[in-house]
Amino acid sequence: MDDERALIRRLKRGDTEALREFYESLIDPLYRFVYFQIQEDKGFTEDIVQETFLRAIRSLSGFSPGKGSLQAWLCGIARNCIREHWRGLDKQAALVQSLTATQAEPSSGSRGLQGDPPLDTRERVNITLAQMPRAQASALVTKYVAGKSVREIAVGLGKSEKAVESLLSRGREAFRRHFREQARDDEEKQ
Amino acid sequence: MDAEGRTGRISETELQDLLQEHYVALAIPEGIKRSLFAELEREYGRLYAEASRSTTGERFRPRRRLHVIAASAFAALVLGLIAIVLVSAPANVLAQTAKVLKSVSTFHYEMRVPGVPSEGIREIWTRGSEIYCRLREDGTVVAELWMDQSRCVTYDRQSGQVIVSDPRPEVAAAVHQISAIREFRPDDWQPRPQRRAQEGGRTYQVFQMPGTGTFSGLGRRGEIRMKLWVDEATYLPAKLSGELRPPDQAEWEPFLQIDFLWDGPEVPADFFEPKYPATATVRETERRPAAPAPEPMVEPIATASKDGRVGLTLEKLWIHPAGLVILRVNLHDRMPVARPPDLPDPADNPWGLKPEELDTAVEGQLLLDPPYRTRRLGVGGVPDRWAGYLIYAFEKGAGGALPDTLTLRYLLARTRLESETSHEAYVQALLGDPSSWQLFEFSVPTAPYIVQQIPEEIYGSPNLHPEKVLIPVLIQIARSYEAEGGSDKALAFIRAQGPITQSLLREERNRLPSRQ
Repeated sequence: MDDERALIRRLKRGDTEALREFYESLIDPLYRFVYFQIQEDKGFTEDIVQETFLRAIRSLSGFSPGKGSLQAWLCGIARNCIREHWRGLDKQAALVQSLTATQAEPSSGSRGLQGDPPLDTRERVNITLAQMPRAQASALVTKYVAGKSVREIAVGLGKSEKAVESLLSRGREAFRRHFREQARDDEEKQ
Repeated sequence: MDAEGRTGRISETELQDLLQEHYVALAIPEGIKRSLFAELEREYGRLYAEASRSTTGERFRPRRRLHVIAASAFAALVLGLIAIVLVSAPANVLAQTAKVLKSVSTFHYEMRVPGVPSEGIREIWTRGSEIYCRLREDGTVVAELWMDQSRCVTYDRQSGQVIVSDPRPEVAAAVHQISAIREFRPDDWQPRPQRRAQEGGRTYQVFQMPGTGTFSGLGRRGEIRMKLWVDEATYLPAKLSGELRPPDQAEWEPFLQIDFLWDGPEVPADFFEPKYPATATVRETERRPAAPAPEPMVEPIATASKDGRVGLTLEKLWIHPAGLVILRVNLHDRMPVARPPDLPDPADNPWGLKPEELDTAVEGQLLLDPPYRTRRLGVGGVPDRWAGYLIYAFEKGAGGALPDTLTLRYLLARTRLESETSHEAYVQALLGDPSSWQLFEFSVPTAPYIVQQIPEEIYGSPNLHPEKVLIPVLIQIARSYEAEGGSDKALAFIRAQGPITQSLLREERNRLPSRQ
């Protein structure tokens, strides 16, 4: 957290190297987070990711380290952008329907007039990973998808097996927490 | 835990199952990653500069010797900027300005670059689509350039060499090289409130460019912003001024100023002929064999709104099977804004709007029948016409090939646009009033419009920026062809393109690092 506080301080000073660090450390999870919320539409994902970063640097003072990580803050901004995106598509779909005699298909990417749509399990799993700290998400994927042993992961990361066990344990907890939050959000939508 | 993960604690085995079944390896294309960062870096630089307002960096030092290509690039830049500024100006002034522009066939303008001594003045004359540039150094004309639609003649007095070349690739490449106007996005169209200014006993209406652009050329690089002064008494453009902010500076500095001399002497017609002596060495630049041009539409398809007051004519259509649709449309609602009633053109204005109905703005959206999902890449005007190009990318759904017919539905919104309307209010007015939307529908057979070559006429559009909106997509297409059918397929795709597209593709490709 101290690192993130320092990063924000450097960003406020106009340090372009800090901007690169900020971007490089967050682009991948943010892209994954948006991509699976937006029905895997790459064009819209790029637009929203860009808008999220732009909004973030315009409101750096809005980040409060005590309330969560930079990644969580950015995901929050992205959520707002995504909501605006769905609202825009809904309005467009409504226009098409009102203008066409037959019930036209909604326009690209929209799921109809329903606002922010619920997620399926695939989307939820990937969004959950995107919200987790990168090291934890990466450790879970290496272990459970790539099938690497704790020892192999430890060698790869240059850490002790105990440290990797701890990383995995924290990763599992984070996964459970975020996954549950996703489910709760969906229940509220319905 | 149930399948939706709503209840209970997820065991390690369940977590493993979830990940194994649903995890998707996702990598952002490097090109996208870089372009997103470039945009972020630019905005960050702008914000920081605004916040700090400090002055650093060196003063502008003009080059002693300007290359001839810079002159053509500069001419293209200036004309492009004028066009963009005019497009950005509110409709009532546009109507008046267009009227005057139509009635004056020749005008002369002078350009001044701060820091350049008087003998460094470049002179540019234009007549219709002809451009004549003369470069002076120390009072001596060192180079001349003359260009029209069919050729570009440059005469370098120092070497005594005349180069005759096909102008379009040259201009396109020059414009691309200086990347001067490509950052002006019509999508960000947002008229700034006009203000009045007094100067030399005259009153001017001043319009500021809606956004900033980037400029690189003539030894200079940075962000630029432009203002257009229109004489309130005559509605003639009087002055176009620009400010530039180099990347390492916070302050804007005067960059160029163009004074329009409407009451200056008429330029004689023969002035446009190149003045090179008969003994000069004439060299023809190599002309690349042209690939077969795409078939244009034979019969334009016109349609009108329910109330008959707004019309849309689909003039041309090109469909590239890799996922591109390019349309050239004439939007009759917009046309009279720039064509006053005393210059009637029944062919262009079958709906005969009255002047008081002119203050409307339009916003469109192309929809293709499912399973096609469309994304707008760019919109730009057709030179000398009140028509536009629309470029859309479409993704085919499961099923693959194009159908025999394609239905293009164009949603058009009209709303009254006051000069003080903010962009947000404008968008809100469009979205909030479904009755303002009109639907135009065209059903066309696809076969006659399928082309392999991107039409090169789009490069004539002053504000379309194909190099920004289209070329990255074409690179993606080439790469996907390579992945599908090897380098032969990708090369065949590139070779099917015309010279401008090929040139832009090469430049773009050179700017990208090698692939992973």
